[in-house]
Amino acid sequence: MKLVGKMAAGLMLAVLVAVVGCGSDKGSATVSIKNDFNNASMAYQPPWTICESSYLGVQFGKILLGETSAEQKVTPGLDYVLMVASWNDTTCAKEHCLPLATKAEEEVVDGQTRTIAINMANHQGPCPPTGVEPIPEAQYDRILALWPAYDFKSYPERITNTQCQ
Amino acid sequence: MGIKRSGWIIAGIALGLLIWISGPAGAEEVPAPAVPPAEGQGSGFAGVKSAEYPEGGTAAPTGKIIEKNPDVGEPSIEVEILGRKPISKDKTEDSTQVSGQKLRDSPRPSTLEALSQEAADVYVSGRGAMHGVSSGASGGIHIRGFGGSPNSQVLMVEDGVPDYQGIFGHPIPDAYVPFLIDEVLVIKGGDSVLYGTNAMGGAILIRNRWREREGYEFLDDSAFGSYSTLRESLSMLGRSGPWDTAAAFTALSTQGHRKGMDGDETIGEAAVQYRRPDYLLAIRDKLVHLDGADPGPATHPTPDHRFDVWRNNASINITKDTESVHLTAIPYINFGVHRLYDGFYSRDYVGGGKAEADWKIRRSVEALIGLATEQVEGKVKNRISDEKSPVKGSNNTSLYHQLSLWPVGPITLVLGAREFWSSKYGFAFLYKAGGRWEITDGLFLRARVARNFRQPTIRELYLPFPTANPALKPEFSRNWDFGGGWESGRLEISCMGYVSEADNLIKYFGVWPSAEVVNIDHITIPGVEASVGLKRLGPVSLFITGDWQDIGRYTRQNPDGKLDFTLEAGKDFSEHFLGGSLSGEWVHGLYMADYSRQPINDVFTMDLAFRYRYDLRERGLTLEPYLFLRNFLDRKYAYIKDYPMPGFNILIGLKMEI
Repeated sequence: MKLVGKMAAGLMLAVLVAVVGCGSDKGSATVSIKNDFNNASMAYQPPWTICESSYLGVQFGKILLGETSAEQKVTPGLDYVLMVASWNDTTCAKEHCLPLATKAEEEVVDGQTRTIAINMANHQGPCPPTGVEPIPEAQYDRILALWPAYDFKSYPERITNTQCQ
Repeated sequence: MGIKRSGWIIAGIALGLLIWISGPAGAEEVPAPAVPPAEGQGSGFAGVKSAEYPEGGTAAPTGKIIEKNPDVGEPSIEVEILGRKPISKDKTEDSTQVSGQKLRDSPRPSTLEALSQEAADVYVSGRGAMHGVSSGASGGIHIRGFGGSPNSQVLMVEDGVPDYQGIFGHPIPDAYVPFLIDEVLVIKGGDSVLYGTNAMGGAILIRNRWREREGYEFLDDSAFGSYSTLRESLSMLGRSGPWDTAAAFTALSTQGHRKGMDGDETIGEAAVQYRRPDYLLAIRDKLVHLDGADPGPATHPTPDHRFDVWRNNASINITKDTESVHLTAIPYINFGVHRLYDGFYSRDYVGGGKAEADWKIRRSVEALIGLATEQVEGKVKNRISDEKSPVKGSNNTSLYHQLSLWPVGPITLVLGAREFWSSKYGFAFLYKAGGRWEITDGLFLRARVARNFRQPTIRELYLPFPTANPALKPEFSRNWDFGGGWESGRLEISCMGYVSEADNLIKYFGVWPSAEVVNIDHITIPGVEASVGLKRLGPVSLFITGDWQDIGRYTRQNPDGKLDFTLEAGKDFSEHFLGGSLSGEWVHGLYMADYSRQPINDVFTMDLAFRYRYDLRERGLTLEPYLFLRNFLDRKYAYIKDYPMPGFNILIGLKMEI
């Protein structure tokens, strides 16, 4: 009986140790971003060049139509892909640029390798309705803070950005 | 619409009952010997503890024990044990056992919600009278952090048959009505070793009723309530010689508490069983028809998003008993047709069988070995465009085994494994190990670990809703739980800690057309569940159960905490009985999206139930009017964002038992 008691206590202790030992760190994920605005399965292919891009605090740089950025390590989580995109201008002249973001927060988890494609269906922007959802103020302001050199108008005046005219 | 149909049905049944009641009283029942009811903790057959087994006796599944006269080899004493083999096959699992009677008496609108009331680590969402299917459906079951909507991480098993839809892999939450249910066992932490795929976070075992004495009994339950809700249930159980019969019919029709919540539910079930002392053959069939809609969010209603679902479950249960071996074979088929407003049309079936031998090797050693095979198939098309989605079925075969040991009186050890092979994704190995220590009479400690899995569904493999991946593999969980409790005549107290871990989760990323579904990620969910029950304190009983868990980032419809309580009171006055209950549920930390986004206000709701029973013994009739006052505080709450639950509403009913 004593032996059995010890065995049972040992089993309980083993379970407890295993449970306490379960920890989790944030890990990392490998991400690249694809400029998928020329996706042929869409009804319309807007000619956006992605001039700047950022996801989960990591910059992915310029991405031409149909191209994919270099892979970057990010801390797993959930965030919008924030972008500055230039309309029909691969040189990214300021007057052709607008702040864009993904429509939904994109997720990556520990150990994942993911290419996030940005296309007509999953982006949002600041101009009046043209079949693209309006970008919320929080994302718009984050883009302004990330890339002030583009001199975008404040959120209440967003539709007066040159490219919207 | 459905009211008219249900009205005719109810009128017909009422007329039939009137004719029955006005006739002579039914056949007299043979008085039964006074024996204790079967308990889930018995290790032998028919709910009898192994120590109570006479050596050399034969235990038929019906509970008849024949003690042989060793001199002449003829039966000399015949003792009939009323009760059945325990529903639980693993004495070390953490489970909640709920009687069918408790479910029938519950004021909660569905069987799954009534189960959730009994165990705080079981969370079931609701949206009103019916749960529905497809978008906007409720009834997703979460057990200790796993499950959800569509609910394919918790397995429903009805009379030994796994019950899930072939395309989407989930059960139909409206398909379970309590009128034939004998008892339900909620296995927390899952058990894929014994029950296979989907028993990842938990398994809910339903066992249906058979009459245990000669004669027949009829139960009619007619109810009417708010929102033009009509519910009619008629069930019959019978035993005549070696034949048992069971049948039930349930119809529910409601206009719902808001536009689009109207619907009809019709369920018919029939079963017949042939019993001999050493073998048994049972055939059961259940037909379910649901017609309803997704009402949509209150801010953007979609009452025209209708669905029409037909499902049929059929099974045969063959049981053979020898002195030490209990053999079971169950072939089954579950098929259905689903039609949605947007042109979606599917036909699916899950068919298979299992053979199981439960062998009592010695008084302290019991082995269970089983072989199971299952085929899942489906066809999907758009009725409007006639476009067919290319899907492929899969089949799997597995061998499973479990060893139960009682090395010394108070200790139970259970070890089990399942070797699973799928034509789609190859081999999977599952295991479990548990121990239970009965320290003193009523005081126990227990611990268990189980590796469970869920195979990808046809939808995840092939259907572009929003995307598919034919290379998906199963997702696996490893569930630990440990704790103890004390049970006495008037007090039941227990506390369990648990850790639910999962790997290789099947997860969707992105939106169409760039969405993807892959196997990825590891999650760990620690939690603690406790319950206290005070029984028969005079006419009063109180039961409280609470659960808290650290759900991590997958917070969608997966609450942090839940508390359920039920205060019951009842007293017999000769042939009269007066009773009632006050029950409530509080749900904390509900979100509509992962990463704690889109929070939903805490749910708090309370129901009142009153019932009066009059036993007209001379006519063999029991009348039981009852009244449910649901959400009597008229609280505004929702389990699903923008799907408000009904305010204060009532249901008045009358049960007649013959």
